Formats: sequence, structure tokens, C-alpha cells
Amino acid sequence: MSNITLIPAGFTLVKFDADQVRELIGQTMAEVGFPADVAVTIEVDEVLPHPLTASLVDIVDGEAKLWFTGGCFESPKRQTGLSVDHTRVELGSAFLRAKDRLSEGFVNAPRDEELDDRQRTIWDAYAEGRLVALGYPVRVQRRRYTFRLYGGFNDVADAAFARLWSGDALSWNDLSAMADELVAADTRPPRKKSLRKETLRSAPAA
Amino acid sequence: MRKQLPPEMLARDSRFVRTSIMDQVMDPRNAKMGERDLGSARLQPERPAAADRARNLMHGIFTGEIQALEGAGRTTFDFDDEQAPFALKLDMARQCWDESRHVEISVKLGDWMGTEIGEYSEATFLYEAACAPDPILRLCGVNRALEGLAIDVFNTMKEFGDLSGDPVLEFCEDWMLADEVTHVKMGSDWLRRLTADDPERRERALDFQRTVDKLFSLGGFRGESEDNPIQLARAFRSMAGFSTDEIDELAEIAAQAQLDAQAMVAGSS
Repeated sequence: MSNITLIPAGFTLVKFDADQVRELIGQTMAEVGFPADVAVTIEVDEVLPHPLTASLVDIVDGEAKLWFTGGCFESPKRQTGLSVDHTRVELGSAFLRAKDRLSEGFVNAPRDEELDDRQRTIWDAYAEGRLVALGYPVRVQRRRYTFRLYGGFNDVADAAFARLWSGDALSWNDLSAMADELVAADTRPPRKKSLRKETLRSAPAA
Repeated sequence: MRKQLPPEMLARDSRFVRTSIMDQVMDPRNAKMGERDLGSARLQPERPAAADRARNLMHGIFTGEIQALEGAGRTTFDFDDEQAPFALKLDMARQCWDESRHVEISVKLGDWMGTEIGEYSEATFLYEAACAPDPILRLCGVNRALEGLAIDVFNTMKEFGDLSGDPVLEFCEDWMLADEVTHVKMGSDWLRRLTADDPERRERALDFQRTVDKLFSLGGFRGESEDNPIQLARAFRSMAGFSTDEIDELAEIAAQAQLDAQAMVAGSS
């Protein structure tokens, strides 16, 4: 059984039941086949509501560190309430990406905060496509729109999405090559690049 | 059929969940959010969570269009010909046609963006502004204030579509934006015609419009700075018959609403 730490241990600003979240974490880890001997820390920033959705996944000294905005787990229908479906999909996608990071094929993947939007959306699509196969309540059109937003509204991007959605055993080099392919096909004018990448994550919780 | 239908009697199926403005104001996270530097609030593709922010706004547009349809529909029915001339009701009927089309477009845009009908909660304060007992107050509150807000929202979404290279979103928003300009103009024209000999009634109606404008600028939702998700669309408002003074006044109302919200956050933390 994994050593799992949930931060905060109990929620005060949102109506999430920490025990239910822990149960969903354990269930998701088992369903996606995340190794039970890897310690996991999951931090949820309950200040940030839906639609401020963002997450980070990294492996630090052999331990999986996952960070989510509270908005990732929140029901858009019931303010401050938990959505089990959203939580399962967000956790499932994050654990698949953490599992990727533990594998040989992803040892050269940059840290999550260093990924650009295009790289990240490719990896997310690859993860959610695998969740579909596991029976998770993933909405393909939601992911496809996000993919187009960062990958491009064109046929090359749509074909890449289809490959990712049914993809298996891809490596970081495969995903990185796809990002280059999308850049080459993208006819949109390049966006202004800020000096520091904007993030919703503030200083880590004590 | 009943006249003056209250918001709680609006017909919705089980997919829709209603929220109140108090739920949003009393959310304990607001004060903590105010302490954070979350960067610009403008809806732009490069900002974090841009896709979910756009989907959320698009669903708000969708429910807003339903309520605009219901509001314009009630105005064709709630008043006799003395209170509201037949030509005004004809304009409202034409607006219903436009709003119905906007609802359909919004549903299709929701499909395009991966949003389900009823995925987000619905606030009914748009329809509430359409419940005023005087048709001129309705025209000021709905056509000038809220359809004016729709100009700002559609222009923001159109820019988002343009910046992200999404041709579907950009074109749909542009077409709906064109209709909104005519709806605002209808409100401005009827306000002038029906209150030509009654300056007090006109002032009451404009006061109601200011109240609605302030409500919909709540917490800095709309304004002219980087802190405002929805940007005031000066050029389109001018096309819709707003004078420069009126747009300046609205910008002040929005700025004041933002200062009030900041003061509220400072006071509660």
C-alpha cells in the first residue's frame, strides 16, 4: 500500500470530504496501475475555484508530487461541492502522467512547470485517451477543444489528437516530436511570450 | 396565462441547477483569492485555465440568452397597448426571434467547446431585471444595461476566438454581436420616444439602468483594466447609440464596483 499524504488533511473553504477524496485517490491509483510502493503527496489548493483548473505532476526523489487547484475537483453545478466524476478524471490523468514519468520513456521529460502549453495539452490528451479505455467518464470533445486551443484549429492537429486518443506505449520523444509537428502546421501568428510563465500555483503550502 | 412571471417559475428541465448571487458573494474563498496575485483576469488563450474559463463564460452566455428570450417574450405579453405600443411589442417579438437563434448558436458552440447543457449552475438575475413593472424600466434594464453587457461579453469572446485562431467561435460571436447592437439601439430609441414628455420617468428608468449596470460590474467582472475578465467595448456601444458621456459613466460605475469589491475583501480578511 502506498504512503499517501493529502494536503490539507481536511478542507475548510470547500465542502470536500477529505476521507472521500482519499478513497478516490486510492481507487484511482489501483485502477490506472500506479505502483503501490511509490510514496505520493497530493496538494489541493482549495482557494482556487472552478473554472480555475490547473494541475502539476512531478517525480521528486522517487516520490510522486501532485498539485491541483480546488477547481479541478469542484462541481461547476454546486459551488464548493465535490464532483466525483471530475475528481476521478483529474486524478486518473495525473496518475497516468506520474506513471509515465517513472518509466524509461519519459526520463528526459521536462518538469511540468517547464512544459509549454502545446506539450502539456499533448500529454493530457494521451493520458485521457487511456482513461477512456479504463471506462472513466472522459468527455472527448472537451479535451479536443483544449487540444485545438493550444495545438491549432487545423487538420494536422486533429489527426495528431486522434493518434494520441488511441495511443499506447508512447514516449516523451514521441510527444515532443508531435509538438514540433503541430508548431510547423500552426498558421496562427506567434503569441507574445512573457518572461515568466504565468501559473496559478502560489508558494507551496507549509 | 399569468402576467408578471416571477423568476422561480421559469421553466427548466432537470439538467439545470440554479444559483443565487448570494452564493457567489458569500463564497469563503473570495477573500483568500483577493490576497493572491493571480495575474491578469482578461480572457486570453495564453492565460492559465483559458479553455475552462471560456467554456464557463460560454455557458453563462447560453443561459443569458434563454433569459433574454424569456424577458423579451414577457414584454410582448405583460402590457396592454397603452402601457407599451404595438410597435414596441413588435420589436420585442423580433428580439425573441434573435434570442432564440442565439440560444441555438450557443448550444452548438457549447458542443464545439465540449460543454454540456446545464453543466454550470444558472443565475437568474438577468431575467430578474426583466421583471420591472414599467416597460421603460425593462427596456433600460434589459436592452440598454444587459444587452449592452452582452456587447461587451460577445466582443470579448470574439477576440478570444480571433486570438486562439478558432474560426467557429469568432464568426458566431461576431454575428450575435451584430444583433446585440440592434437590441441596445431599440432600447435607446424607445426610451427617447416614450419619455419625450416625461423627464421624471426617463430619469427613473436611467437610474434603474445604472443599478443594473453596477450589479453586472460586480467584483470587477466588467471594466477597462487587465483585472476585468470582460472588457468594455466602447466602439460597439457607440454604434448602439450610447454617447461618449454614457460610456464614460459606465466605465466609472465599473471601476467603482471593483473598488467596492476590493474594499469588501480587505474588510473581511
